[in-house]
Amino acid sequence: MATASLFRTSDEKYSIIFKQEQAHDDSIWSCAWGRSNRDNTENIVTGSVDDTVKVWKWVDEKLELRHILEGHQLGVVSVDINKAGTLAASSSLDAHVKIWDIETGKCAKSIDAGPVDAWTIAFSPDSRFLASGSHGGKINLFNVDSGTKETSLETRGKFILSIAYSPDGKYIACGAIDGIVNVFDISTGKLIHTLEGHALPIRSLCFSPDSELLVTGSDDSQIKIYDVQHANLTGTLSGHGSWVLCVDFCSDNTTFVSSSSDKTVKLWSAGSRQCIHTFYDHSDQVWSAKYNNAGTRIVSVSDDKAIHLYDVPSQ
Amino acid sequence: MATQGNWKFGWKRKIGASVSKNSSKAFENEAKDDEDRFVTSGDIDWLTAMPKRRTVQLEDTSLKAKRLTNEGAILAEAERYWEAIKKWDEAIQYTPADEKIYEMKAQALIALNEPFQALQAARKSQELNPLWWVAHQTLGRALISVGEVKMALRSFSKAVHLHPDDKELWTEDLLWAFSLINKKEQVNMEKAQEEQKKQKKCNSLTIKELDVESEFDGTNKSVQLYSANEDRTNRINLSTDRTEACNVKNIKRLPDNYVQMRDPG
Repeated sequence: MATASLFRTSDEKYSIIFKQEQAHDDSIWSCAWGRSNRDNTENIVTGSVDDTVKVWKWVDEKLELRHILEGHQLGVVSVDINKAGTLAASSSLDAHVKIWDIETGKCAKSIDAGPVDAWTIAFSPDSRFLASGSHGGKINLFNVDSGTKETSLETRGKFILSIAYSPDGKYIACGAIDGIVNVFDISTGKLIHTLEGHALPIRSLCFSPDSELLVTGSDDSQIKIYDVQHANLTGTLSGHGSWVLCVDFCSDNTTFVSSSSDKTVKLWSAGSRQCIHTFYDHSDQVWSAKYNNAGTRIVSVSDDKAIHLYDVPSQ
Repeated sequence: MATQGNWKFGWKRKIGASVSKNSSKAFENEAKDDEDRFVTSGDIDWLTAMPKRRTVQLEDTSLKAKRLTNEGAILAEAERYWEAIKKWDEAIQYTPADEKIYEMKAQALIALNEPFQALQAARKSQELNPLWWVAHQTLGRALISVGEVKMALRSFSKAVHLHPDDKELWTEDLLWAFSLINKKEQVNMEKAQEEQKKQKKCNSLTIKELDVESEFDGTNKSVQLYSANEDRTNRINLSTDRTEACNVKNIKRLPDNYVQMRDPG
């Protein structure tokens, strides 16, 4: 496994600090970053079309391969880590959802969601539930402990490509293939907002840490910011040259990151709605980019099979 | 236009090749003199002397490529694939970065059972527009037609990942390729088991033979050996007959969607 070197230039505030080339055999589709509260390790989970999920440890500014999790029979579409940083979840094209113990690398639960009933997955903030979008426009909520389907929320819409919990645990938002965003109130299970900002698939959305803002990224290469309370559109950001594949908010509540098919990773300021910085380091589509818990590092994964890590010191 | 130009070019070359050097030189000299005479006299009107273009270009290249592409599509729908490919090749000359033409070409080539050319066209299409799921799907189908089912599965996976809202892509491509691989694994397992069984049988047979040989001293024993041998040859004949019969049956029973799989490595 090839490992790249460190390059840091003093005049650049934001820089790439590590590259793991050939991290998987084929395109990497998803990644997640979590800090374990059990042993304080920084873990990065990646999922690829090569059917495997890999757990990496970020230690001494380097990636160490911790586990190769095998068991999925088709490409891994989505991965997530729970808030405590102890469990990882992955979903694949064969509609299986698996929950793994990050420390041991053992499969804790395997859920067969039924044909095309699992796409993007997300842990609830309290880590008790796992939400997944589905073909028929339903959000399925699985119980993490028992591995059974608890409830489902009906959007009456199309295929749900993206899903996100608000950090305060009040809302769940999902983006569909036809560009419609639905926001549910979890306590009542009622649909509270339908946002029709995009006309093309929404591949990613995320809430701000204070749960006030919702950021959506779409195939129309635009990013939109909504005020969750009133469902107002507060900003439209353009800058990417192709599909926006992933958005993730920084824990400082002011910046967020986006990745795109135009091979770039961009940092944005949510306040000024301006692009702060662009990383041009990947050589193919960047499917996912995520912050660490402290909001000081970003990991990104791409079709070029590489994992990149960036240093993004806060303001 | 291009074909006309090509045709003229070819005709001239052919004439030059078949006419003797002497006569062509004589003709050239004569023609030269002729022209020179007119030019020196100053009578010639260069504007009218220019050969008139027989056709006027009414469409620009992109429109022309579009027309050719559509013509190709109509031909392909009528299953006149080679003619369609000719049209598309011409269209590619005008718009070399149009992934849709390559993709259609790949489909036609698959239908014509030209898997390697199809693979090339499909690859090109996918390179030109990696975000277009149809290109990935066609690349997958081309890969299946050359027997690379595992790579095809990856291509189908990528297509589904880009565009998960297509039932046909799910069931007829992705899950089908997946079932092919599973079947292949099953067949391999069965084969391995059978081979093990066969080996076991062979072993027992040789032991028997050795037993017979070690006790080889009397006349009635040799008869026993002979009968054992006869038995074995019979069995071999039988087994070869059976495999031949099986092969014949297999050839007759080949399904439409039969795929010859390549063994990786």
